[in-house]
Amino acid sequence: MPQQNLILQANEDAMAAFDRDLQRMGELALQNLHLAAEGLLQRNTDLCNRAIADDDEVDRLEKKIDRSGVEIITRFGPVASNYRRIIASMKVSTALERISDHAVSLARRGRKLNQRPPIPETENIRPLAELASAQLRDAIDAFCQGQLDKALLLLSRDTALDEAYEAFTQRLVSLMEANSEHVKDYVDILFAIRFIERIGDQSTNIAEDAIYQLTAMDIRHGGPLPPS
Amino acid sequence: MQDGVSIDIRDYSLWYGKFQALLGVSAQIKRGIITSLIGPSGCGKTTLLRSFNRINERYGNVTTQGHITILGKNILDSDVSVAALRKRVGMVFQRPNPLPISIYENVVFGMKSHLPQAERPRAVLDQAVESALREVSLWDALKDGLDRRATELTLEQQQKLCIARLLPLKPDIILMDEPCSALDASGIERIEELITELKRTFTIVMVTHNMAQARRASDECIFMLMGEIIEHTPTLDMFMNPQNSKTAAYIEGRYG
Repeated sequence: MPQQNLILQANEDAMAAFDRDLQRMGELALQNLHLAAEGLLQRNTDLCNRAIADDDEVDRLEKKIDRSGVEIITRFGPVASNYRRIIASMKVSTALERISDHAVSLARRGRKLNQRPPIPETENIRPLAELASAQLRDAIDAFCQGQLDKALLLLSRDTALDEAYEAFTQRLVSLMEANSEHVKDYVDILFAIRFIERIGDQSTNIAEDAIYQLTAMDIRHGGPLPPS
Repeated sequence: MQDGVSIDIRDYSLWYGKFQALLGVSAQIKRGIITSLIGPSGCGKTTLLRSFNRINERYGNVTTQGHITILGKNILDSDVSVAALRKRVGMVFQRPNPLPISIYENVVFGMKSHLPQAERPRAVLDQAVESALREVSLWDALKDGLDRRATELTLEQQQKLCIARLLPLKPDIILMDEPCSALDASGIERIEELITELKRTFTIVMVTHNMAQARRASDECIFMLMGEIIEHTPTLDMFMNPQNSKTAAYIEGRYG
């Protein structure tokens, strides 16, 4: 009878399933952001509704990942990189769940905007959505594929999104002061870009978790960076 | 007895002289899984394990009360053949205890004791030795030296041999009393792998002091304390959410 390493195999199978669930959750969160942003920008309420409906699967995966992580720790007592991977993945799943919630909130603002006549300022949301989407894509890749360089680059990338958000906010305030007719639209846009800006912050958190997973270094709140 | 139950224990008590070591315990041990008996020293887990093949009775001053049903029969009944019982319920001990004879003779020792000579021609014995040693992943390493003395093997090989020699008798249940406690880390890993493989064919009941081993290698756990069964649940349930505060205290390392 060949030696099958059943316990080792069970551990590896559990880790592989755990990783697949996180990857799937990341893809769903990214897709929900895309659906919500396009639903708003294309004035397509069906896309907004899909983003809202698909959030249920993200919520289910968040609970599954937490349950699996606790079970793997309980059963196999992992140490070192596997241990960090489980702890960090459970934090990332929380971040992805928040991101998907922000996408749902964005979709709800989109539905409101779609019920009123279009205004040109809406299109200015697009560059912010594209920045957030690219950051999230790279954060998920950096974490799931273990890409340290990509994670380190993400730490400074959120600045561009923050600056664009600040500038757009100032412009919306000016527009509201000058033009009370569209205040409802401007408020909805203001909320929409706030949700997008928060997604950028959460992507940075995922990059920090990727760095912790890969190097055991906690770089949050000004901690020293690992050599790239 | 319920389908899927291998060992049905009802209100079972055991005394060593005047000392009561087991206090009316009841449990149903499922077929085809690994059940770990855990608990601090002196809790009765080894006594309970040794009750399943009545090996406790070797001490002479043992009395019992209650029922332990295996294969539809209360093994405590006076008409039970202890030799026949031990053929169906094999046992592996803490320290490997191969007989100081050849590897080959160790494996066929049980067959020679239990089967009339006509039922065990040389070809049958040869086949049984190869099959049993393959089952425990020893065949390739030992096939060219079956006449070597078993006591010359490494401890891990000796323990695997002690498991292999049970197999020709086709037991239903294998009892293991801390089967890895004499082994190093790699030996522990390989014996655990072997036990996990064997559960496809046998019911395995294992006493262990090693909580990590109970967690990774067993399907259900029975926690015992001062002669009583405190909790019997699937392993993950016990280690994630023990229902009894005494179980929690033990598995969290607060005593024992």
